[in-house]
Amino acid sequence: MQKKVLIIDDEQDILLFLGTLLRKNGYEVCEACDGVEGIKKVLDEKPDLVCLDLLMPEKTGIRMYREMKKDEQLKHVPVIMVTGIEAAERWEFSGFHKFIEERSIPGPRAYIEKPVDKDQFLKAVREVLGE
Amino acid sequence: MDRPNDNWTPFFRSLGFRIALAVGLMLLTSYVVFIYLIVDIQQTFYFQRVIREAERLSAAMMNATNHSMLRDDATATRSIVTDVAKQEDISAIRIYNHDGITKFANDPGEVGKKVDKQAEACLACHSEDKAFSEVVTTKRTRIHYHGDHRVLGMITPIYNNKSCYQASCHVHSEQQKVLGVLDLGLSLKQFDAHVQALVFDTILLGIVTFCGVLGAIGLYVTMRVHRPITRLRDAARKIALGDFSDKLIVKGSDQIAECAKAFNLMRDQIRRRTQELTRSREEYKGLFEQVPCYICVINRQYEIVRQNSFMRDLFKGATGQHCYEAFKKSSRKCPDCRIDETFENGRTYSKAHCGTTGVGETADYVSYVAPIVDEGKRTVYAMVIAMDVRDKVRLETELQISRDFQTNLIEHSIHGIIATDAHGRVTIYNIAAQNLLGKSPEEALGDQNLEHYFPQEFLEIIISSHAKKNAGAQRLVAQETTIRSSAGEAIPIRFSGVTLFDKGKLVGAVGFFQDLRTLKQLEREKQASDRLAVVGQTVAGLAHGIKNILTGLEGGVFVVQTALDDEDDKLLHGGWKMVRGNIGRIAGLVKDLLSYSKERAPQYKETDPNRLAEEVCALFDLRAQANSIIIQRDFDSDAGKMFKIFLDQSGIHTCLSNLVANAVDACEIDKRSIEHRIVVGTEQNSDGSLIYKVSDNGPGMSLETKRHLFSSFYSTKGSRGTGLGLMVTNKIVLEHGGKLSVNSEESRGSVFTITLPLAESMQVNNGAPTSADQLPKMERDASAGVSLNHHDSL
Repeated sequence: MQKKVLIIDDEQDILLFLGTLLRKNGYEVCEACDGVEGIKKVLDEKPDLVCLDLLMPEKTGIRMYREMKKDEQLKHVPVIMVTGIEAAERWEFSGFHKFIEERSIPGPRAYIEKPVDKDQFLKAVREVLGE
Repeated sequence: MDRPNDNWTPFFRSLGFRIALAVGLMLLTSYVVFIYLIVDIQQTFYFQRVIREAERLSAAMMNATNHSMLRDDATATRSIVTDVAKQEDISAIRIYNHDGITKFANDPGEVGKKVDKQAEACLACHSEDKAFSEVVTTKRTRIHYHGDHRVLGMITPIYNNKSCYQASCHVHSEQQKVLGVLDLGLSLKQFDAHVQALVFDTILLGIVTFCGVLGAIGLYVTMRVHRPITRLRDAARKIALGDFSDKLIVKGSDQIAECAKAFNLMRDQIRRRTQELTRSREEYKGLFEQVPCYICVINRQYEIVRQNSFMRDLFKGATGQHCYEAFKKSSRKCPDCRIDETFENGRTYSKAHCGTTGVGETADYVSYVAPIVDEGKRTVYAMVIAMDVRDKVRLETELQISRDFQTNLIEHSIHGIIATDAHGRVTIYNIAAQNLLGKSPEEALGDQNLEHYFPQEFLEIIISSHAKKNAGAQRLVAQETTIRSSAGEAIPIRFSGVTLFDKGKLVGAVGFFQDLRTLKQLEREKQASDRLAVVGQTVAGLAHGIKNILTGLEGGVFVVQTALDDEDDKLLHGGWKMVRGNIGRIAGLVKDLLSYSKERAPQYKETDPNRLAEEVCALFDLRAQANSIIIQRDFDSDAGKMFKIFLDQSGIHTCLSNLVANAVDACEIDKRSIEHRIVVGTEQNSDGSLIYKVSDNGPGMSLETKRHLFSSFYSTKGSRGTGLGLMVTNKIVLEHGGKLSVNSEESRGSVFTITLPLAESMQVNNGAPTSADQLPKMERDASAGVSLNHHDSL
């Protein structure tokens, strides 16, 4: 059965690139360009995997992740966090780690740094989906 | 124990008693004399009566016996004598003849006896060798005692009358004058008893009347003298004891009443004076005790006679103690003591002392010694008044320490300090100021040419303060300016100055100079160093940026390849757009890098600022319209008219382009459904400075974004930005000596403002300043010469 991956990113180039890559590798892809739309898509599309950008306008990836983990329906949906290298070093990220440690929330299944290496990305997706 | 007499002593001493005594004595004397005289007169009177009776009896005897004598009838004569002698009062009757022989006597035993002419009774007539022949009429009487009573003896001579010497019986010669003597003895017993009774009655009467008169006098004296005087005395005693309550009751108008009136008047006066004296004494006592200084009175032996509470409390000295023991805790008189002089010549003097308090602490005081003189103007005591100057001495010491500290602080401050007095003369000129200005202290101190020392701005403040245009201190804080040394060198300084006022009156001014020569040198070196550091960062950032772009290119190529393989035109278009976008990013990155890395002086040209802004706006109009963004122009039509504007057109064009592009980007990513508007404005201030303002109503910036705003390679645009745009903009603005400021609030938008100073003079100076340091009033902060204004939140 074709697995469905939801890509949430505010950059059109990333959406296009990752969407093309996943489709070419046999996944069904749906896209959202910010956290608000992302939550809606997660509920509607019920994806098998979410690739979530950390920094986005409207609702950051962190906030969206927290909301997903609080929601009984969504808390089991695996998430791959896609971050820029600058963001990984920034306080939001350390705050995010502290947050998930304090509440014993399971962290994202994988971190993928931007710029995205397509082989590394595909490997991570397959691992998370247990393929 | 009081003697009994003591109880009577006041009575004996009283004026009434003495008056009564004196009057009594005088009265007694008068009475004694009077009674004596009365008794004597009466006694004489009665005695004369006895004598006259004796004379009558003698005459009767003579007459009775005359006839018998002439008849020489002895018996008849004898009989007469005997019969007459039988009367009660007759003691004896004798008749002597011429030869002194008793011829007849009532006592027959005496007849024939011869009388002794030497006897007392006979001497009256028969003086020595004198013949008994003369008539004796005086001193015929004598008094002698017969038994227990007195007897008055009277002799009566019997003269030889004619009848006698012519008689026939016994013829007497005619020459014989006295024939014999009749001696009559009359008893005085009854007379003496009568006189004695008379004396007794008179004395008794005298005593009674004396006592009566003395009593009346005593009563009168008691009532009119003793009692008023006693009252006066008692009142005087009361006054003496300080009791002024009773007033004497004045009765009558005699001298004592007048005395009482005078006494009452005196009492009132004394009471008033006493009250005044008491009040005065209380005042002086209060003054002595409460006056806030130390007072003591010292006698000639240097002993404390009296001291006030302040002195007692401080030195714990006791009355009778020597002053040097009490105040100096010394056993000997102070060598520099001058109290002797005060006692000798009454002089006052003052002197500073250092004593020891009762608890052993040092006490500094200044003493004033003044004489206390008696009625004879002789100095009997010396009064020492001491002022406690411990606080003064302590304050002086502290002040001295503070002054020394401040002097050292000023003198050795690393900043130059120059101060003037109220007359504008230099009074403080420290070492750092000497090093800065090059003038020697001798030249500077007292100099009134303040333009050699202070910047013009501060001179104006001083002048306006002098002209009383400004009440209160005026200050100039951390003003960066230049000042010329005595050698003519322009020295960059940071100057702070303040005018000094005391109670609204200008008392001077002080200026603080921070020599910025080293700092400026360091700043230049730091800028160069920063650029080198930026180059290092740039290399790292550049590699990363290039990697990003390359990955993006790879992604684009992958999408294009996929599209070609799948013959998907839409995907091909998207992939190609990715490829073009990444090529554009390379171009932008290279352009920004070139702009930032190259140190170039602005090429000033006279410019119409509005036209330049319009060119930039026009560049973005199409892109904005495509995204429903309005670019609004808000140009100052007067800009460039009052002052000509010179700027580097290319540089400022780049700056404005960056800011407008950022604004468009911000609006593009803002997902809010509002009408996005970018306002580009120009404005020229009255000082000629030019302002470009680019504002948008996009999403604004978070605190974190504002913090990294001017960091190299920081971008919120992900793959679209290079992170160099604002840095380049800031660099160009700084090269113009201007300032780039940001005001941003999340969900409200951002305002970027470029302020460029009037650069007219730059054109005159060959139009190309080589260094940013020469730009006037360049304000920059440590990060990148950017001031950030955040709405409250930063």
